[in-house]
Amino acid sequence: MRRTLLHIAVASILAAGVLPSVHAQRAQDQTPAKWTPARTPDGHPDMQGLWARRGAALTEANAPKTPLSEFGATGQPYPTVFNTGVSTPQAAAALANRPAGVIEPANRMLPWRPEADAARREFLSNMIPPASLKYVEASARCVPPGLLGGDDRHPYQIVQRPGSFVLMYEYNHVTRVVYTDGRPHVGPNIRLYMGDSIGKWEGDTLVVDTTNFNDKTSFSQAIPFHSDALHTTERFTMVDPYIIDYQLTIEDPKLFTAPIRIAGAFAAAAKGNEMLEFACAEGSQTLPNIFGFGEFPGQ
Amino acid sequence: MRTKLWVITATAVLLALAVPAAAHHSFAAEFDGDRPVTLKGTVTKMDWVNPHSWIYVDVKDQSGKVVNWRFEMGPVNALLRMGWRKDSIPAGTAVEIQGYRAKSGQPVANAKQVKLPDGRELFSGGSAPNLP
Amino acid sequence: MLKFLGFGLRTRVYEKRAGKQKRLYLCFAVKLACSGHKSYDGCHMNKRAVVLFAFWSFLLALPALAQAPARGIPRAADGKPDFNGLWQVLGTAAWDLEDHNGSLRMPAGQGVVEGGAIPYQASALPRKRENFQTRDINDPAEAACYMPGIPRATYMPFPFEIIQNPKLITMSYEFGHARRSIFTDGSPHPDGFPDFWMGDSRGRWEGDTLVVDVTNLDDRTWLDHAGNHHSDALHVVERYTMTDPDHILYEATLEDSKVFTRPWKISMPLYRRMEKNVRILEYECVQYIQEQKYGNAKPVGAK
Repeated sequence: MRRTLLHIAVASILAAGVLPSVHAQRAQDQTPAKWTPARTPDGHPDMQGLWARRGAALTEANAPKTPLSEFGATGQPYPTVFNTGVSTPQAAAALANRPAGVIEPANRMLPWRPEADAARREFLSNMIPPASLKYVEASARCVPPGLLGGDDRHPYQIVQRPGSFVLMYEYNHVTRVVYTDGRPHVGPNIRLYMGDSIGKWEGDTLVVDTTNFNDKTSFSQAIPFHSDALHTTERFTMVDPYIIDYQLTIEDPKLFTAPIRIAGAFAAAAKGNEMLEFACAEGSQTLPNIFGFGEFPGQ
Repeated sequence: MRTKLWVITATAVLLALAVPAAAHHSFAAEFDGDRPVTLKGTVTKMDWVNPHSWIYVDVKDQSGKVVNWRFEMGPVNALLRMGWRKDSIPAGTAVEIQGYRAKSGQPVANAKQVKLPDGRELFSGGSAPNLP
Repeated sequence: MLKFLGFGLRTRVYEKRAGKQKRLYLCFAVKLACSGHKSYDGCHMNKRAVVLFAFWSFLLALPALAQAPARGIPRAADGKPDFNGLWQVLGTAAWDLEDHNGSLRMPAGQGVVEGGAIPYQASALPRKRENFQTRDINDPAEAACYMPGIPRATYMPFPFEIIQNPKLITMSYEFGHARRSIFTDGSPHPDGFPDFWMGDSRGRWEGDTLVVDVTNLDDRTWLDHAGNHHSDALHVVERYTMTDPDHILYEATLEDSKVFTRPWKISMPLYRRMEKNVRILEYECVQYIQEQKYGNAKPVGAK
């Protein structure tokens, strides 16, 4: 009798393991095949690798003219003479018809608070020539880029491990560790250029909540600052082997009366490309050129 | 690198269309778009650095005096990904450079185009040297 | 007669069987090599007992002899030691790799250099002296917040995070958010690349030790605040060995044929930062120094 019961117990345990997958298989057979990503050991989509980010910009309709984006009497935009070309033809094709930049508001007229819009126009008027250090464009001062100030001609590296999703920028070698281990944000008096990011998976989408920004980074050439009330939400969803869909929602109640949504993507880099070092202050001659002193060492 | 560098170059050309809005740093604060310059000379050295590589060129002015100019270019990472290497442009190489003078009045300029004698251009997609 | 050597754990086992008297004495004191002889406490040994004693001693000593890997260390999915987490050096190697005395706001330290002194070539000593004398304005890491290079980034007085997956190990240093990638995918150092402030790092595993080969190190970095320096010929080989879940033994061998007479080695423990929810924060000394230098300055030509 005992032996029989034992056999029944073992058979039940095995059945419990097998049946769900049989059920899933049936369900799968009934729906059309959909691309699903490979998974990390802890069961999440594996987005690891080197990527080129596109579209993540605060594109603004009727942005004020700023001499940052033009030069001299020609009024021509500064010639962009390079791109790092890490991406692949397939990724380029996949990017071609995707939305990019601000998608909400759809007309890209950003919902400025009037006083904030006035402040940024005033700020812009002091930038060329720069009235003082803080009016020198942030990227020229090697300021850590925050979420939007990065130079996307340089790639990004994603590494995943249990408890965190790591987004490394080649540009200015900043590293964002998004903790997915359930921890809370750091205390409100800790202020960071790159903010403090915690994430959670909603199905196969990583949702990243970032707070604790300082007010020292730049959004774009036309929006050279933001406030420390900034709060962002990003959503990363891998849609095929070449593209991670990237959605960024910006809320800065001291600048804007409503959230702004941006659509972008990370496009897969060609194999064999590696993250390279992008040292900024070490090689920059911009501030000595602007101020006429301060080359290291010595001055 | 194990990668076929021509592949990288080819994709660089293809991706020219998908270049993102660039956060260029303060060209306008340092250089004068109303003062273009075209100079010919010989390379004395190159700084292979980020955020901007620099190329130093001996240029003879009308009086025959040699002045060493330095020209700001893009980041070294872009050069490397296009296949350029540290020994690609040895001292003594003749170059022709178009650019914009520094506002400081020093012999410094931002390079729009750097052309080598065989027609190759630095930073331009599709112009990497043939590497093994 | 052997001397009694002290620590003795002696067990005597008697076994009596019907018709025979078998006595097995297993004596764990060292003096009992005297097979068949009467040791002075009256304990008898026979050959079988000696063989058994030797066998068990050897077996129990094996782990120590074979230097078996530390037990209980965390392992990654690929079986390798899992270095993920925040680590930091204690001690003052960042200030001076060699023995040094205390000074205001700076503790004394015993050097981390094996053999004591860094083996400089005579021609390199004037530069070391000059660096030391001008260190407060010329140390690229302290005076300009330039990235400290390898190995100095390891022992700066700031934490760093090891971010590890099977093909790539990244070290993210809180000092100036410096970072380097250690490629463990078998790729070689690239040909014809320029130097980088944090070098080019390629890693491989030797058992449970991560061995990192670093080249392409920019010659402008210093090895510490005391002005110890190197040339563009510097080649560093690091070894990371987890000695228990919260400590890594860090060793680095430096060779530079233009500056040193021979390769030399440093070593120190890395201590895991144990605080709950610890994370790398920001130490943006480039910004702090800029503010100091240019905060009140006017651009050339400004009104």
